[in-house]
Amino acid sequence: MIAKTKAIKDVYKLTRALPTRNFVNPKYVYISITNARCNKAEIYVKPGDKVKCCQIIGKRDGGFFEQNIYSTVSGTVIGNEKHYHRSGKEIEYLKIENNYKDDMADTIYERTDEEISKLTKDDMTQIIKDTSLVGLGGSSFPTYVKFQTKDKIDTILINGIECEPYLTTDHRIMLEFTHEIISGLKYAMQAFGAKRGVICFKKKYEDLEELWKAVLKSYPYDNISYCKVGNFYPQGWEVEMIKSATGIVVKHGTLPAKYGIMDFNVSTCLGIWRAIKHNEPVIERNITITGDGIVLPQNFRVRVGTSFRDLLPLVGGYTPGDKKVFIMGGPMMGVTPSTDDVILTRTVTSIIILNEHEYKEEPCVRCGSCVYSCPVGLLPVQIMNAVKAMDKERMLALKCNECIECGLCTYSCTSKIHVTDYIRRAKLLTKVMKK
Amino acid sequence: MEFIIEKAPHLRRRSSATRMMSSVLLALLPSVIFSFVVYGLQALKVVGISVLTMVIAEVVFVGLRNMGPYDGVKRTFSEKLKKSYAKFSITNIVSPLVSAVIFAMIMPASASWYQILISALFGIIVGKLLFGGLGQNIFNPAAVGRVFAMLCFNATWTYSGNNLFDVVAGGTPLTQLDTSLLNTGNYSLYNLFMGFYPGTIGETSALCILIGLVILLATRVADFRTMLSAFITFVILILFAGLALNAPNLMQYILYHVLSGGFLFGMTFMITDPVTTPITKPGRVIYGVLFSCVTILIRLFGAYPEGVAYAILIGNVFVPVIDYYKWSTNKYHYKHLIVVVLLIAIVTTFIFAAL
Repeated sequence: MIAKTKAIKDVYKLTRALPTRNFVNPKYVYISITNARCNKAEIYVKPGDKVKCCQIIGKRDGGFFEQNIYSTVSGTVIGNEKHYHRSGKEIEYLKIENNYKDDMADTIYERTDEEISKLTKDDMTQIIKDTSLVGLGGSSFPTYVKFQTKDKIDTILINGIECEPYLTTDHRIMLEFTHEIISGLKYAMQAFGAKRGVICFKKKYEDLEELWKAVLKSYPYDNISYCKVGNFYPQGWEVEMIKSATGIVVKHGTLPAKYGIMDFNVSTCLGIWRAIKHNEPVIERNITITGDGIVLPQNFRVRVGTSFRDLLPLVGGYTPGDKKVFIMGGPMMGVTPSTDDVILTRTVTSIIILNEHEYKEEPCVRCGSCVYSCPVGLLPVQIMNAVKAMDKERMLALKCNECIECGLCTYSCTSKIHVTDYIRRAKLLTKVMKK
Repeated sequence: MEFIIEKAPHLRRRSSATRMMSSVLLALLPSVIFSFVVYGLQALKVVGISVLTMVIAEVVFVGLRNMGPYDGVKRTFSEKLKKSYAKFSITNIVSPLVSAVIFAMIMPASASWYQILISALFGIIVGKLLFGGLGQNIFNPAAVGRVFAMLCFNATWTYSGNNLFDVVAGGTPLTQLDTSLLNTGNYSLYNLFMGFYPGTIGETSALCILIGLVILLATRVADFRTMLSAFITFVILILFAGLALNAPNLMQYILYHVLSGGFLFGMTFMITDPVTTPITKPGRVIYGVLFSCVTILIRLFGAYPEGVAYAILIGNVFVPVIDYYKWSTNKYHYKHLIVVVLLIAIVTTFIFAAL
């Protein structure tokens, strides 16, 4: 089939309309000591210590990415345990037993609106740095770094597009934390001195349009609007979103801030609200657990650090069949750990469990679907041939490093070739190869 | 419970190369039926021999290739066969089938069985298998076979119809056209459209080809860009030729050229073969323009009345150049327009200078 892939078929509209189930009090939580960006950390507590909820229990070192580690429940520290992380690696976690009291640390207090209106951008940056907020859409990029930009920002975009199929967390967050998101957006607009805020979502979701139409009537003087963007994948990529919402094309290698635009995911926006209003880190998050490999697909609100195995009974266990594909993140960009012993850290947006599938690879017939589909405008099949020929010069000339690994080339391949993987290899080879 | 490790993305679009080729076969069906109706057993002979030849050649080749090099384990012949045929897939049958049917459609009914056999073998072996099989070939195997046949056996053929239309020995209407360019031939446009004129077995009926074209576009197997650019270029250039010749009925002259010969068939089934076309949108447009330019040059100035097969091979030669990584891009650029205009301008100059 020679055609551009516009949208990925939402094969299972499983959890779109389902309410969020709370599962915020697990028996144990597991706090990751290191993560993908910080491989060293210092822990201030030892086994047996009593900790309070939102208490600082350590610090991850990583230069730029340095952040405090918070306890997400109140209770007793048990010790270290190894589990799998979102990145697919096995790392050390600090196990904390929950005493179900939710004793809040002393640092948590509610700022009055008056206090907040006096906060400057630097104050907010500091608060966000202290509460170690990161991009919750999956990037886990520290939000305070975005706040430090020197460029003049006039538009703030809130990304509620969630372009990957299956995922419904952002959708549910928008429905359930509407006013908090608007407050978070207002704080961000105050910090940057931005003139307008725009909330972006897919135009096919009429419920969201109704929602924002109704809610924004209550905020007539804040210059907040909503914008319906396309239904295609990867509309949630910031470059595509900015193009659809404002018409500005962000060139590769430049940040949106250069064009006066700042964008946050809705979950991050909620995090900003929580940090500024309550001085509180992210201790809970929304997550979708779905796919045809489990019995009851659900939306959950979970405590950060919950083990997936604790959630398994709530989704009714696995469907019959021995082999499953267990995906952390979206089905287009997520990773597959070799076990279900994973911890839901704050950047896990979803768990998707699919039944075993087999894709039979055929020879490339040069149909050009990958070329037509590539949102960056690369030539994936040419890069693949360059990798096969081990031609570094050609890989660089074909700009393989601009690839965002959205996976569309593999998805649309007529012959079911894993083109994206070749491009990942090209990226690696251009770094490793000498000539 | 076992968890499979695989790399993202975890979903695939529902399509396959085999399904794509099956759609081409479906699109070819009207032309095949037409040839059976008009030429009867003769058409069956042409299609049958070329299908058998090409499929067997490909199966043997793929079987040998799947055996692989000596890997340290001694096997008996039957074990080798088992190993090799375990890797077989339906693609290995469908792919030569498409080439074979296209090749049969552009052969005349009067070709004898050994001519078809030799040409089909040459087409599939030299045009495809020597390059490494499906996806690796530079030339369209059907066009290679046809050109080989045309060079070796042309003099022995007569293009004749059955009792459905008048028998004219010795040439297609384009041959007449070639000798008396101002005369628009002895066949009415209706006959040309329906296919009731002498020619090869499958390419005469514009109606059947158009049905195939609709099927190809509906199943999204062929890229409309190549077809459209080829068609528009062809019409423009023939218009210029008509003007240069002061043809009395310009409209009829254009239609005559479009409907007769292998142009429509080549445009629909041969230049849209994805393996031998460029992979980018502008590349495909340029390829279509190039195809039409060469076809026109051969038709108007060449020794052969019919240049489609040659034009395809010449176009194929330029595909690696069009796809060269230093300038290949999927975005339209004014430079692409320059190339297209230049190509058309060169041929136009030829037309006005020589006619």
